[in-house]
Amino acid sequence: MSKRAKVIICTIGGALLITVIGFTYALLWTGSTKEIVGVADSFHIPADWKKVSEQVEPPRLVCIGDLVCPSLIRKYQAYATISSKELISEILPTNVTKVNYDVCGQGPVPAQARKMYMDCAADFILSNGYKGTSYAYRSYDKNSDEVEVSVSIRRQL
Amino acid sequence: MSVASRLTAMLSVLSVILAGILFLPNNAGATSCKDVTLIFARGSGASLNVDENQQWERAFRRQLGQTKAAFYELGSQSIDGYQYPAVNVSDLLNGNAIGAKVTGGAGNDYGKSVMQGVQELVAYIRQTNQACPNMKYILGGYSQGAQVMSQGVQYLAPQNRDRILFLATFGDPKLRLPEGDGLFYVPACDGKNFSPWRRVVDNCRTNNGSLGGWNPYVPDDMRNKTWTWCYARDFVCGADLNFTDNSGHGRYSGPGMAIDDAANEATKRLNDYLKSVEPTVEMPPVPAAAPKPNDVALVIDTTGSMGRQIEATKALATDIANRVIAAGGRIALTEYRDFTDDIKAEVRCGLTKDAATFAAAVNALSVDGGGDDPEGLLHALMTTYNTLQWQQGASKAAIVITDDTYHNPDLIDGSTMGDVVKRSLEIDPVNTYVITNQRVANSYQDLANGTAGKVIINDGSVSAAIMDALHQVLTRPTAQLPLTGYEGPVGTEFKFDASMSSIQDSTIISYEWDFNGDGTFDRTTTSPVVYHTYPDKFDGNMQVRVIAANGSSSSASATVKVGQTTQLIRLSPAQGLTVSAQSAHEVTVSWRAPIDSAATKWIVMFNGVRLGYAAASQTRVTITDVDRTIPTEYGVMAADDEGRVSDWAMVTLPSDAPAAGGAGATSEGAAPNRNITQPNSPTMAMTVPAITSSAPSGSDKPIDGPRSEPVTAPRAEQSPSSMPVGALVAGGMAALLVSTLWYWRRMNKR
Repeated sequence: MSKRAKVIICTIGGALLITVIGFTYALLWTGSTKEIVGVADSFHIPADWKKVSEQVEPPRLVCIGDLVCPSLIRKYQAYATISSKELISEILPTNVTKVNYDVCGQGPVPAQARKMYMDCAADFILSNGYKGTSYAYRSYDKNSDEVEVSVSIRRQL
Repeated sequence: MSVASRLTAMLSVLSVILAGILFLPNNAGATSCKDVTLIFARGSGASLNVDENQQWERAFRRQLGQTKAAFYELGSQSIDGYQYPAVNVSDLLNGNAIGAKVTGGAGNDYGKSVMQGVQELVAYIRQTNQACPNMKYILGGYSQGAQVMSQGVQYLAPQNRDRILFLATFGDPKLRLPEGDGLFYVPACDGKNFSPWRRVVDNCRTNNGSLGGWNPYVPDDMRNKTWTWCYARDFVCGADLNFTDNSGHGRYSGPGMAIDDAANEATKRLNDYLKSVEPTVEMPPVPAAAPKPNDVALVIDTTGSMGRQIEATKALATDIANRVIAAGGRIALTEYRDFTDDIKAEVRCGLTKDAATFAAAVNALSVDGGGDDPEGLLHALMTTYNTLQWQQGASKAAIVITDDTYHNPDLIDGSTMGDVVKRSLEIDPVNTYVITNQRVANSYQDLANGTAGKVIINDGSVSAAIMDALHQVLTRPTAQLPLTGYEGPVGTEFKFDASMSSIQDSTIISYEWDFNGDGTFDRTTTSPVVYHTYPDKFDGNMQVRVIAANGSSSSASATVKVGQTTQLIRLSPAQGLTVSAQSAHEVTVSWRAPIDSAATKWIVMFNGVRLGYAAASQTRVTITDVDRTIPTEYGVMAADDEGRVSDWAMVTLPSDAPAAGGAGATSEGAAPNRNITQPNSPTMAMTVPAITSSAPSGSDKPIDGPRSEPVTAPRAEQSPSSMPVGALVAGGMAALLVSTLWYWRRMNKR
């Protein structure tokens, strides 16, 4: 094989290799979750609230799943006598630019389907390019002050 | 599996366990059968009860009214050993995405996950069917969950499918739309042969989801009960072939988007069904009685003549608060004077369990003003009722301390006695106790009666009167009704059941019923249950006053809607929808608002894509850059801030034939064409400058609502997020091409 042919093969092979490596890197690359976790941390969650779950989806160059990249969902368990709307309004961070409350204080659906019912929802936009939704669930037991609050954050599309 | 993946899996399992604990569904026994169960299946990798499922529940919560409904999310418990895990496909290293693609969604961990969901669905419906043979189902699923649902209905027996009122799928990877088939001619792009399940599919060429479509998509008996949504830039359901741009896949749960749309339609079908089979109103099972906490508001007249009484109240402040708090309650303070004073009515202390806070607020009171004899009590009560954060389920009372009468109607806000009583009942109710002197006591009887409170005479010792009132408030019976609202058609015999009411250290001897909330008790019974039929339409409150042997009493109230259609409300649609071509690629859409329009905005649609909102006052928009070489479809839908919508008003504008040019059309039929030239560029891009991007009243625009900015074509452009991959591929291909050309030229030179 001549030197020229070797050069050609190497050039083509190199280009293909770069393409494959680049493509694979792009598919598998995930970014840091530090920023979105920081956004979640900026919520004013009282110290006595118990975080019961957290799901964080990192930024990706190729976001092929059902989870928005990046996104974060936290759930808290707490006890409070104030209204769910008031509760949510108190935990929202200071950089909230817009909030829409929904279904707040409608009371439970007539038949008890679960231990907790959705009592309030709030869609919010933050000034740093994130948006999200917070839900408050109340107990069907009228004597219980238990409330479950979820905070879902994602980058604005 | 990477550490991150394991951690995610562990968190998912933890959330499943916790959610299982928190959201255990009731055993669907015969006594707790619902009208409908709403079953939802989440997308890949999602935790239980997040995002799409929450939006699903929220959308139905707005509209369910008194419908007895249960929510069930697949995966929230194991049924016959089946529990839907919704495996993650975001992490390519776990192989689920590739496995799903290679096997068409049938194999690998992904396929197993889907089958777990299918079998859980089948088992759940089979079990609940046995316990509740009349219950119906509404199904919804997102992405992998949509596949579970579209696959699951194929596994259900026909008699069980018959119980399904509605199936909604969002971004289904197994979507099948035959009208999207075709290389050169695609029927859907010509507006033809639409499948009955096609709701919003932004790309007319969509025919199969990314995992290959079911054929047929759903069994024949589900064709007209299924709606599907597939937004632009959703690779999963096949709206976009570029798998690196999947940004449309996360848009179904936004306010006003697909899930809300599905809930509107499903609720309409549910209500139609319930109307056809349910002429009477059934009450849910009565739970065991439980003592209720007390919310008590002290409402004090601080005009000039009240000095001595206020000093006495200050001396008792801590004691009053401690008594209420010890009984599991909270206490608040409102100060009021009259319309001529600077202080008219101010809540000085919100409902609190802190005795010191309350006492400090009382001790800060001083007297002044008053002017004429009557004071502004009605305004003070309205302020108190509306400002305090009353605890749901608590017994509520206001204790008024005054030495004079009140303006009726009030001179500050115009409130009347009737308004105050009505508002009291709406809050379930706030029983109002008035401590006053003998001289004016009679003027407060109507207030006390209307709110099931009492007038307590201050015969010289305000301290004794306060303690008397407090004793009555804290030892009164607990009146309870099982529902906070009743609803039914005219002629319905309502069952009002106060048997949950209770009292400690005494017995309940009678029940007084006020069926129309006017403060007059229409019937007295010794039985806690009465039946009442409203002869005409009615929209108001009812109350029951429970009388105990020790002379104390309390009441409970509920809203009653007879012959109303609040559950079924569909706004009046736009009228006279007209589309006219202004130029070769500019179209004006205009319509009229119906006289009874309650719309706060108009949603404008073009070729199945919601373009955005127009303000309620706006009845005309212009859409530019329209490709008029094909027929185009326009729609306008009324919407309000409560999420209610109208039916679409639709009109199709025929394609612009070269010889004929422009055209006009109305919702009643197409108008003759006008001479208009063809657009030079067959672009699909369009802008909607006439549609405002902000809400008419400042807060109407949902924050993730339909697009209101200039809109790009349904055939999506490449998004910024896909550029790195595209650039890499393009670069590699270019290098390959250059190398090949160079080699070919060198060989030819030889």
